[in-house]
Amino acid sequence: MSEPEIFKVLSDPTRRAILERLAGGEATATDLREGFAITQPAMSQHLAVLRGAGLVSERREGRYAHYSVNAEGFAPLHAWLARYRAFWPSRIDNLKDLLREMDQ
Amino acid sequence: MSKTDQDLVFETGLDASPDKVWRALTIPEYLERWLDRPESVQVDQVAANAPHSVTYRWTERGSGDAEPEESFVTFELTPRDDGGTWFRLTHRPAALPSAANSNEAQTAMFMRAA
Repeated sequence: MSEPEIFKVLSDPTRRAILERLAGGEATATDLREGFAITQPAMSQHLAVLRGAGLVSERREGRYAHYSVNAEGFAPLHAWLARYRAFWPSRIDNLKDLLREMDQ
Repeated sequence: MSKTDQDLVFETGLDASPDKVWRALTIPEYLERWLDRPESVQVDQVAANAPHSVTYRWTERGSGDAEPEESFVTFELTPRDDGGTWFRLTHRPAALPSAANSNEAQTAMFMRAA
């Protein structure tokens, strides 16, 4: 999953809310629907997208599927953040240098 | 300079007036000098409110066939009593919610959890 793709997946507020719920622990699709005004097919679709993106894992137990956050799937997002966390401080130093050189 | 885990935010005091900082952020020749823009990145101004805030679309070409990755960089300038400027930089992916909207806490929560 590339960085642009993961950002697209995360741009949906319902998907972010599902991830927030799963961050609290494993849940079934039925558990997850509580508090969401969405249909079972819509929930399944969101879970399929999240699984496809590698952000959510599925564990089968009998007839129930249990979903959980897959921390590894967030690596591209963390890579993006790390890249720009390293990028900006040196640029801000450049800006300070430039401001010293500029005329008032 | 401070930053949080969930947002790319950098803040610092600058020893220059907001007008002067504004010029450094918006006059292309100045911007190029300090930004030292990577070749893969295209920068386009999308909003400006002189000399308070300016936002650039930050488009980074992917390698090979990968889609370009779009994000937004916003600079906010606040005058300080000593004549200097309080500088705040926010960088966020285009597809993620703005830090200003109500989804912030939610986004922050799952990013911490992940």
